[in-house]
Amino acid sequence: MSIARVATSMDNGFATRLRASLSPRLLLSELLLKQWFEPVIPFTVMLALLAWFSATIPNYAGLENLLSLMRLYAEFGFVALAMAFSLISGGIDLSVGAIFAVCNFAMLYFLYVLDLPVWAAVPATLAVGAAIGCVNGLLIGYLKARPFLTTLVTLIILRASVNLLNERYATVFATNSVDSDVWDFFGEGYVLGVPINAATLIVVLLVGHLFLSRSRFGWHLTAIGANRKAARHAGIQVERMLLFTYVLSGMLCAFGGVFYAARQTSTDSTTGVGWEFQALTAVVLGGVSLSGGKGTVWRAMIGGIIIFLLTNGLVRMGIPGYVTSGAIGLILLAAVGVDVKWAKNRGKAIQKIYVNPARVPLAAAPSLLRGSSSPYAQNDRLIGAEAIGLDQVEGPEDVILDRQDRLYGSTRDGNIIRFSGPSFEQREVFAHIGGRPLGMQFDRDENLIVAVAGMGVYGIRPNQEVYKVTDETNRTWYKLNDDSRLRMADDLDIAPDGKIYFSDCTTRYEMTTNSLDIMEGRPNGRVVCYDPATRRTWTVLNHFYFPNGICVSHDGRSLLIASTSLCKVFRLWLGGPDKDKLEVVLDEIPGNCDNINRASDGNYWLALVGIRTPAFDLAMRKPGFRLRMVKQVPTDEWLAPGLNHGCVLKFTERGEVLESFWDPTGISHSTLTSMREHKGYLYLGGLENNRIGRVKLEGADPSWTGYEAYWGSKQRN
Amino acid sequence: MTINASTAGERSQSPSLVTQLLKKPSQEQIVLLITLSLLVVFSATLAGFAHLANLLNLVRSISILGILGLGMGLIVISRGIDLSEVAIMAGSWSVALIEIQRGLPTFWAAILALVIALMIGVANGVMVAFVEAPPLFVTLAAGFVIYGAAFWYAPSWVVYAPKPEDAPYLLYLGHDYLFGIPVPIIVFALAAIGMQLFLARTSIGRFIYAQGDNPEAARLAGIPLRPLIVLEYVLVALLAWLAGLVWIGTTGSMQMGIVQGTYIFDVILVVVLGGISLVGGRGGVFSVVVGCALIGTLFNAFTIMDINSEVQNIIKGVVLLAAIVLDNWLHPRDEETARQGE
Amino acid sequence: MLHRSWRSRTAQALLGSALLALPLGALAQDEGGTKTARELRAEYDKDIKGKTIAFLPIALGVPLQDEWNRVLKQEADWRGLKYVVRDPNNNPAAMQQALTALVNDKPDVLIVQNPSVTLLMKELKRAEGQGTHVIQINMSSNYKSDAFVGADWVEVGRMIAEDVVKQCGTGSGKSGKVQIVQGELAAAASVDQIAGIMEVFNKDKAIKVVSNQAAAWDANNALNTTATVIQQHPDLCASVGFWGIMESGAAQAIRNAGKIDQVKVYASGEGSTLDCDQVNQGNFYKFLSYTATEQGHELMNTAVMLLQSKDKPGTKHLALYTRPLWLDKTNANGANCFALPQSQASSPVPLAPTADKK
Repeated sequence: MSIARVATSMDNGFATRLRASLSPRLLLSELLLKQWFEPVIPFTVMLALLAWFSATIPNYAGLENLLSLMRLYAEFGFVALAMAFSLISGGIDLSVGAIFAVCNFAMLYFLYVLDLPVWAAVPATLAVGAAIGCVNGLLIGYLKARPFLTTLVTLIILRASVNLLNERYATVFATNSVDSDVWDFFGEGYVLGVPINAATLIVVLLVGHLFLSRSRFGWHLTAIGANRKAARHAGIQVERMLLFTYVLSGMLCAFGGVFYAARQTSTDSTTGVGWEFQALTAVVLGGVSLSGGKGTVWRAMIGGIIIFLLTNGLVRMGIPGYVTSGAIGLILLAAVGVDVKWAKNRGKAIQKIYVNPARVPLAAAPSLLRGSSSPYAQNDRLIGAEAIGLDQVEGPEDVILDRQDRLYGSTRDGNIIRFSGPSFEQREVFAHIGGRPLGMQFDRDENLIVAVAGMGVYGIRPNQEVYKVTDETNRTWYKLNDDSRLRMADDLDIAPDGKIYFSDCTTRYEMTTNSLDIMEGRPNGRVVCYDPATRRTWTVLNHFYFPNGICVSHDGRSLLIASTSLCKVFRLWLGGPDKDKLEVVLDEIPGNCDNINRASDGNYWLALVGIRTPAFDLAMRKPGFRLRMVKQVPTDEWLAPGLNHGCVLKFTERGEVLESFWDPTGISHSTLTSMREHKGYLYLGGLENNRIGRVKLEGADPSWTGYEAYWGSKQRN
Repeated sequence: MTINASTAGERSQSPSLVTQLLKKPSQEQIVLLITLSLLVVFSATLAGFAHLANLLNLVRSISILGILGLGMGLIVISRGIDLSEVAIMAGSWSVALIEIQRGLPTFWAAILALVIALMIGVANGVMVAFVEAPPLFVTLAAGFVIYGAAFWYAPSWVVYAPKPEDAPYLLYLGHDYLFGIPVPIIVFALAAIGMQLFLARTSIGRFIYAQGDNPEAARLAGIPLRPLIVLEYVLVALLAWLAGLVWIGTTGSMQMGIVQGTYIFDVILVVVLGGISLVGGRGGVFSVVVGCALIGTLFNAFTIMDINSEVQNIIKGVVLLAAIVLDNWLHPRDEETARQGE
Repeated sequence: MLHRSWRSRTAQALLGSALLALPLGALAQDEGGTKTARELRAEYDKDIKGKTIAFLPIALGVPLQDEWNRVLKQEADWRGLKYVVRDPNNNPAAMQQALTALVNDKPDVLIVQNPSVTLLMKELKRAEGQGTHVIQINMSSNYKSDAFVGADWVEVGRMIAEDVVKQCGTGSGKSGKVQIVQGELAAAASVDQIAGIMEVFNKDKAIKVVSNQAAAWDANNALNTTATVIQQHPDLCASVGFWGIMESGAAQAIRNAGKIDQVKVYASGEGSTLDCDQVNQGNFYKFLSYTATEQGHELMNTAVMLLQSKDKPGTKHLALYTRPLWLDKTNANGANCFALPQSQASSPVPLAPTADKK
């Protein structure tokens, strides 16, 4: 069949699978989700301004001019950063411009009047800035004064003080001079080709970034800005943090003052005038929230550079001042208008474009005609299944039996339920893990290893103690989406060497939304391996179509993987000449396959969670249709495979289907996800079922158990 | 602010005003007390301070600031801010005065200024209410745009009004006396009474408090928030226009330069000083009045004492700082009930 | 674009030495007058034409700077100079940036209005170091550049004070009470003007400065201050303001108090029609104009002189002080008052009956 061939060639190679996992829309939706993508509007505005001025002003983009711009910008950058920190802490520091002016004066005063050496004057100036910040911080932190009013008043006092001082000392600064190479270097020097003040700013930015995003103090600072009450309840010392924030703000202004003093050797009534509002405009434009708790140093810088470029460029274009003023106003209005709309609609946009269905041409579905010779022919073999723990289990996705013939089921409420006794009448909660426990397997030491959707892989010791096996794998370096976390560990199996192989069926959705992954029909899943010996986790098979059931073959040399969305079973060679090769074992399955488990006769059991229908198969070939469906139709009315059947297959290692067990009514066993053979019986688990089923297998080895088949006498290799 | 400030609107009805004042004065009461004690001290120590004429002059000097403060107070109560208020005043009247010079009758010029002011108010309101841009940002940028546009239209630093005999009605508000009282004082008083009635007695006024207190709750309660916001910015523009009318009557000119100055800081200062909180929903007209009174008293006394203006600023700052410290010392804020961002 | 090649510099140097010899040649040859004139013009054109003058005021849109700008532009166009102007719009940081960029562009002459004595000093030094003549206008920074053009603030203060003393001082029979309205205390122009005023006032025991306040160049502030002062000192004799537009507020307060005929209002300033109107309306008793139009011409003359002198920038310190001109009702008209630029916008109001009034 041509369709089958297409499917086969489509899903084998890594490159084709990778290609299938990509689409521009998908890329965009993942880009939109990134936190660093949030300030994209200001960033674009910044680049656009730079481009515009480069095009209209000769030599604007030249290295010489850019260096000169950096030198001119750096001091304002420090002040903007100071403002950003105060905003992030949930306050505001309107006195930044005045502190800057005072520190500029102080630096000159220390050098020119007190004749201090530069190495002493710089720390002294920083101390002045810190001291003023300390006053602000004490008032705001410990007296709980309102930051806006308080810093507005300190602004008035500081500004008047520096004006008085200027009047007194202006002539001294004019007549004296300082002969110091260090001082000249502060004013005109370069570090690695970058002006000294800009280089310092860059270093401060890097430190500030690490501080804000990686250090405990930074997190506390953000926390008191985001929700002060919660921060207090969490035990953060709000008063001390606020004091610290305003001291930091004062020190940053002092940095600006030191460099300005070195560069200009000028102090007058215009120094830093209006910088408080310029800085405020800048950082808010960059995306630092006025209401606190949100912002990065980079955003503050983006905003600062926009404001700086706007004034600088427009003035240099030689246009009248009132036009400059009007243009700045309009550009700011436009930028903030677009940014606000952007911020508001980003979430909606992500929702709109996150699901990206692709064309999934399924292989033809075989006939299920009752009474036909097909191994798939419907029958009633499961209708009479005996019910265990009726209404005592909530969706046992997987079932397993231990060496003491006790039956375990992984249920929706995050529990592993254990039934014991001759007819399994004794129910107990074996362990509570949380999440959604799915596939299970016993390791050699009889620890029950469980794949838990939303959590990772966990183990339960025979003494009922729960422990974490792994919850993350290596990140795919070329993916925007951080896929290191395990989103939905589904089924697992353990190789003879102890390695745990498990499927993580989607990296784009969660347990509750995994049906969207099926609707999307892209290879978003992967098969992951955990090696207990090295405690390392790594992705074995990336970009795979909804890997679900995992079973290590009887000989332990290959891994059988069921793909739910492709309705196929694959084999991944773990060793031998074909190591790492992926091949199709079972094609043209009539339903969406789930768990695979070993059978006593050397074959394998496969559960079908849903039965394919022609309508659904057609839908899988129509991505546009599915997109409209998931957007416009409520979830419970989506087209789905037939879920009101139960079906279990047996197939051979070569991909031959031998027989099938059906519950065509779906009354007792629909959405079958798992089956285990144990001592001549087949135990049945279902995602939505209220029981565990059991049917007697004719002619099966009555002594065969899963544990023996893996670790004991029944191994076949 | 604490809980007792949130009842600012109802204070006039409160029977236990004195006991409450003695027990726990609110910020505006503290400012009032400081103002009154300063008045007493200056009356005792400064010759010529306590004269009626001087006190009238004191109040007159803060009338324009007060009218602007009423508008700013309104918008701050609604949890907004309007940094373009001074620009609206200067821009609308510069254009109108230029048109008068070109021959437009004064009445129509006043209407022209009003239309310009209201249009700017609508534009501000739409940007805040419908585009949902932060008010601080919108009005800051609007100030730039107004400055640019007005300067383009009237390219001079200052535009003079016609002589009082040529336009008696236009200049009446800023310039004349009624029953021996300078008219600006009466304008300020009427505006304050009108604003008080509007805020305390009309449902729209209460809606504004509701919006400032909790916009989301106000919206869920069925208050049409967006039209309300536009209305608020239009009212601010209206008061800016009124302040401009008084301004040109007083000085006989309109100066674009004030847009670039720190005048808007003074307006914000008198508003927040009196206890109108920037988080909205707190304070009232009386807050603006006491804030103006303190600033006016200081300014008047400083001028009589002929203190260097920088020293004036330092003293003013220290007094304000004292008010802040006193307020916070008398009733430290309970961080459990205080609102975020205050 | 503004770069001059080394070669043209040498050529200029040669031409410069030729220029020095010209007056001698002109004296010797009476008959060749026309020819000499033509040569002179050729030399002049060679020195001037195509050179670049850059002008950096504190802000445009203010009568003083607008008038300088108008005159400079007019003259530059006529002389064939390239003229560049930047408007930092009262933003000192923008002004610094604009200056840095202008200096990098290496114009031939740079005219700068300093906002303070220190702010632009370093850049001005750098400009002269790289070969740009710098002319400072109305206020010199702490760096003495090639030329200074403008008012001598001490002199302006002294002249006003002398007139005030004449009106209010000993023997006038008046109270001798004087109010001073400064712009900004820290501005160098204010500091110098006050120095000049006090120097004179201190010589006359009768003069009492009852108020010395800064009004931040704002007419309303001046009005509020003056209203209080006139309240406290009803016998005030004179009010001195440092800028016409600001002092008009003080005059208004005095007029409101009904004392405009008793108090002599003095102001200094650029001398636009706005100031003349105030004089003619009787708000200002006298106005000391430092004649912005004249200053504009002097700026250009200085620039032309510097270009023709061929001296290396930074080698001399010319100073051209403007003659302050007293304006009162007799002469506050015509050429003594320059007109303000007209609005580029046409009236949007169709109602305006422009015809009948003008």
